[in-house]
Amino acid sequence: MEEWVGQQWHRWVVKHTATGHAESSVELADIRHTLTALLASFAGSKQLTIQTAWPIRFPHAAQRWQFLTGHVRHSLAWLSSDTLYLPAQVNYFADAQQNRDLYFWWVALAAHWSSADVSWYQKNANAMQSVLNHLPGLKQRWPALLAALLAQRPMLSLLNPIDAQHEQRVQKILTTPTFHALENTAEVLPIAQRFVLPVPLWLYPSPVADEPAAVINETDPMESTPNSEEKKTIQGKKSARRVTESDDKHGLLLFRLENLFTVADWLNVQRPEEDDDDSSNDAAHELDQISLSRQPSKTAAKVRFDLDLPAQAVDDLALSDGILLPEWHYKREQYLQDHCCLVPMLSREATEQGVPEHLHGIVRDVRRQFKQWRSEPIRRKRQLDGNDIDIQTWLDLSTEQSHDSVWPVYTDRPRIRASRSTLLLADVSQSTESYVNNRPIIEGIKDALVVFCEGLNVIHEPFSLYAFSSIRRRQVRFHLLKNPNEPWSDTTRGRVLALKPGYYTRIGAAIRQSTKILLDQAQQQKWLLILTDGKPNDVDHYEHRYGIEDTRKAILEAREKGIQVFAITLDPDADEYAPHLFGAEHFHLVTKNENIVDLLPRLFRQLSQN
Amino acid sequence: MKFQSQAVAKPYFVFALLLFALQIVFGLIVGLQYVIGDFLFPYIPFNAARMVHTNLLIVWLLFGFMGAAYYLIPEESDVELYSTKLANILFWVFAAAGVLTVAGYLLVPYAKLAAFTKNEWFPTMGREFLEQPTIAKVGIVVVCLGFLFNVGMTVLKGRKTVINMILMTGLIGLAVMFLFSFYNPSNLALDKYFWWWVVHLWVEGVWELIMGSILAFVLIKTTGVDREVIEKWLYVIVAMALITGIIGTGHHYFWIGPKPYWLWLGSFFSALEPIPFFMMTVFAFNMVFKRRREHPNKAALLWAMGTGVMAFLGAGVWGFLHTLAPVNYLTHGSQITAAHGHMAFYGAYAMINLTIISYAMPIIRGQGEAAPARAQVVEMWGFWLMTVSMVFITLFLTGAGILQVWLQRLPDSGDALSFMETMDQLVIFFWLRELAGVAFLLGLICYFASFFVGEKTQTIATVDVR
Repeated sequence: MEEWVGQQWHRWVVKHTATGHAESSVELADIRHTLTALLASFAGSKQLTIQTAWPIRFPHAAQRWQFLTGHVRHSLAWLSSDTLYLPAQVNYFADAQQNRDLYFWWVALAAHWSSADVSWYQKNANAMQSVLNHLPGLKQRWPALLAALLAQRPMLSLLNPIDAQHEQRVQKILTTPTFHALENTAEVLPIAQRFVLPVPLWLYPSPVADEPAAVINETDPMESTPNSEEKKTIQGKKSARRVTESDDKHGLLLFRLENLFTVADWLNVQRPEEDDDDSSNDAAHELDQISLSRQPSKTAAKVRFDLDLPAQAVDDLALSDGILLPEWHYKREQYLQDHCCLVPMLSREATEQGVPEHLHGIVRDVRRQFKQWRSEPIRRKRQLDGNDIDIQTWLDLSTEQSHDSVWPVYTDRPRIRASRSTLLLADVSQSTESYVNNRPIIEGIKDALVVFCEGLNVIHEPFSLYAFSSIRRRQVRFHLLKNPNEPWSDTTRGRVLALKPGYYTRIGAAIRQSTKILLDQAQQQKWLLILTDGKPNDVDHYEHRYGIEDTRKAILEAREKGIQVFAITLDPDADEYAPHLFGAEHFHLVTKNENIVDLLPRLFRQLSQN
Repeated sequence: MKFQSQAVAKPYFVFALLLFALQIVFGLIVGLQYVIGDFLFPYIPFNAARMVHTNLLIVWLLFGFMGAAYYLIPEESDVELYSTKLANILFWVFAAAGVLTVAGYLLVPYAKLAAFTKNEWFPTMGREFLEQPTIAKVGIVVVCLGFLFNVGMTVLKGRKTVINMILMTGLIGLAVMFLFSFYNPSNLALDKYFWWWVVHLWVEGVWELIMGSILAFVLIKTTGVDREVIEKWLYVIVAMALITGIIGTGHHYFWIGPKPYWLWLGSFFSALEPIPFFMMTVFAFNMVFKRRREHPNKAALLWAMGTGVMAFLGAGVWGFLHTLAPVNYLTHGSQITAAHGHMAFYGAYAMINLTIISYAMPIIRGQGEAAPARAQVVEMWGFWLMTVSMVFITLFLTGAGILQVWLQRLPDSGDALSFMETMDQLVIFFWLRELAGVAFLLGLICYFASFFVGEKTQTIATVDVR
C-alpha cells in the first residue's frame, strides 16, 4: 500500500518537474560518426576521443521541486585530458535542431579548450570566444541557441544573494563571451554553497578517475554464470568503483539494527538470490555508482552441514553436477538405473610440479627401460617377402650372377603393433592414509603413478589417468589427473602429486565411467588398469557380496565392450575375492617385499607382451 | 605441522604445564598439612591450599584440552583454524581469569573474596571444585563459547571425521555441563544432586569422549594403522562410556536423599564403567602392536599405552572397588575416595594431556616428528617416576582408607574411633604418601627437563691426551 502511494507520488512529482523535451531529443549514437570527424578536424593536433557520459547529480541552486524528486541528474558534457564525454541523449530544448547543435558546440568547445591556469568560468568563456571567432557556421546559429539557453536560466530574484551573484556571472559570460579576465577585475565571487544551475553549453571537468582499473582475475569456475539471454543491459554507462570484499569475519555485529537498506548501501550480505532480474536492473538504473566487488563464494560454500564432506570453498573443484550411472543389484539381477552420481573433480591445491627429487633416479631408469623396450626393431634385409625392395641385396645378387630361382630382395619390418590406449584408475580411499613399509600408502601410489606415466610418456604411449573415492552413491568423486588427449606435463604431474586420501571405495561406478572414456578413444586396444588397496566398500549397503557383484558386473561389461581389465591390488586379503572379481589371471597382489613403484612398469611390459 | 594455525596450541600447552607444576607444589603443601597441621598457617591455610590444588588441576586440564583441540582439529579437518587471533585472545583471557582466581584464593580469605566479587548477587561459590567466584565462572563460560565457536567453524568448513565429531561432542558437552555450576539450589540434597551433573558427567562422561578422541588421534598418527579400524574402536569405546556413565551418575546418589532405586541403578551401571577404560587399554596396546610404521616418537607411544593402563587402574579398578553401594556405605568419603580420585585423574586426564603434548610439542617446536633420542629418554624417566609415584600414593592412601574404615566405620558406634583419632592412627600412611609425592615432583622435574635436552652434539667430551 505504502509502495503504491509512493509510486503515485513519484510519478506525479516527476511529471511536474521534468524539464526535458523528450519529443525533440537527439541521440549521440545517431551522430557519433559526424562528431568524431568534426572533432578530428577542429582539434587538429590535440588527440581527443569521444565517450559516453552518464547523468550525474550534484546540488545546484535551482527550482526547489527538483530536490524532492531526486531528479537532479543532468546530462552534461565533460572534458578530461584526453577524452570528451558526451551524454547519450540531449533533450534540453524544444527544437531538435538546437539539441543537435549542442553536440556540435561541445565538440567545438573541446577542440578550442585551453589549458591555461584560469578559473573554470574563464575557461569556458575563452573557449566560447575562440569558437565564435573561428567557426562562423556555429556563430550563425548562436543567437537562437543563446536565447534558448537564457530562457532556461533561473530568475535572479528567486535565488539567494550569493547564488544570484554566480548566476549573474554566468549570464554575463553567456551574453558577452568576450568577457575577459575575471581575475583582473578583482571581482572575486563569494563562495556559494551550491553550483549554479548547470549550463548545458559548457564543458564540465571529468569526474572519471584517471587511474586504470585493477585487472580482473579470471573468474572462479565455481561461480555460476548467469544465463546471457536473461541479462538486460543498462542503456548508457554508469560510474563504477571497485571495492574490496569486506572480510566478513570482522565485526561482532551479526545483524544490522536498521531494517531498511537503501539500494545504494553496499553490505556484504550473502543471501540466496531471491531478487529477480527486473528489480536488480531497476536498482542499477537508480544507482549513480555501481560498486563492484568480487565475491568468490556464497555462504553455503563456506560452511557445510553435510556430515561427511568439507565445505565447497575448501573442497576440490567439481566440474559438473554429476554423471548418473547404473548399479547392478545382484539379488534382483537387474540394473538400478541412475543410481550413482559420479562427479568429475579437479584438485584445488594442484600446482605445476616437476619430477620429485627422490624419484629422479628411478624415473631415469624407467624411461631408459621403456625406450629400450620400444625401440624400433631393425629393418630386416634379404627377406623373401616384404613391403620394400632391398636394393643393395638386388645389386649384390645381380653382380654375383646367382642361380637361385628366387631372390630374397625384400626388406621387412615386423608387424607394427596395434595402437593401444591405457586408462589407469587409482583408488584413493581413506585407507590409503595408513602405512606400509613406513610410508603412507598414498605416497607409494603417487610415486608409482608418476614413474609409470614418465615411462609411458617417453615412448608416446597414449594413456589417461584418473583417481576415485566415493561417499555413498550420491558422490563418486572422479579425480581427473590426465585426460586421454592431454599431454603429460607439469600440470598433470602436479595433479597426481596433490592426491589426498579420500573416502570410500565404490569401484563399480568408477569402472563404468572409465569404460565410457575408453570407448571414446580411437585406438584399437583398450586397457583398463585398476590400482586398488581394498575391497569395494562404501558407507551404505555397498559392501560384501553386493559391492563385489556390482564391481564384477562392471568389469564384465568392460570386457564385453572389448576392454581388457587388469588389477593391481595392495590388499593382503585379496586372494579371497580378487579371482572372482577380476579373473585369476587378471590381477596381481603386491606382496610386502614388492615395491609398487618398480612393479607397475614391469607389469605393463609383461602385459603388453602377452 | 600441516597448518601454521596449529601453532596456537603451544601457549596453551606451556601454560598447562606451568599450572601442573604449581598444582603439584600445592599438592605437597596440602599433603604436608595433613601431618603438620599448622604448616604455613595462617598464610596459606588448608582450605586455601586445597582449593588451589584442585582448581589448578581442572584449569590446567582445560588448557590442555583446548591446546589439544587447536592442534588436532585443523589437521583432521584439513583446513586452517578459523581464527588464530581469537584463539590467542581467549588464551590470555582464560590465563588472566585463572591467575586472578588463584590469587584471590591465596591472598584473601574466602569470605572476603565472596564479598569482593559480589557473590551475593548470584551465589555460586562455596562448592567443592566450584569455588571460583561467579564472575570467574562467567569468564570461563565466555572463553569456552569462544573456543567452541572457533573450532566449530573450523570443523564445519573442513572434513568431518569421526575423531573431529567426537571431540566436538565432548567439548560441547563439557561446556553445557559446566552451566550446571550456575545452578545452586538452597536445598542441600538438590545442591548435591546437581553438583554431580558437573563433576560426574564431566569426568565419567564427556571428558571420556575427549580423551578417547585424543587417544585415537595420537594412535593414528604414530602407528599408521588404518583409520577405519581406529574409528570403529573409538565409536564402541565412546558408546560404552556414555551408556555406563550417564546412569552411572547414580553411584553418587546413594546417600544424599533420593529414592533407594538409585542404590541399584547406580551400582549396576557404575560397575560397568570400567569397561570403556579397559577397552581403551586394549585399544592402545593392540594398535601399537599392529602398527605399520616405526614412529620416532617412542615417548608418545609410551604415554599413550600408559594412559590406557593407568586410567583403567585408577578410574576402572579403584573406582570399582568402592562403587557398589554396600561397600560405599562404609568407604564413602574416606581415604579410599582420595586414592581413587588421585589415580583416576592422573591416569586418565593428566596423562592424556601429557600424551598429546608429547606427540605435538616436537612438531610445534620444529624439532621434527619427535624430540631427540636423549630428550625422549629423559621424558620416559619422567613418565616412569611420575607414574610409579602415583601408584604408590594411591596404594598408601588405600591402606590409610582401609585402616580408617576398620577403625572408624566398621565398629559399632561405641567402639568406633572419632575422625581425628583415626587420623592420628593413619599418620604413617600420610607421611609415606608425602614421600611418594616428593618422588612425583622429581618425576615432574625430569619431565620438564626433557624439553631442554638437546641433540647429542651438545655434550662436550673431554679427552685426556696422554
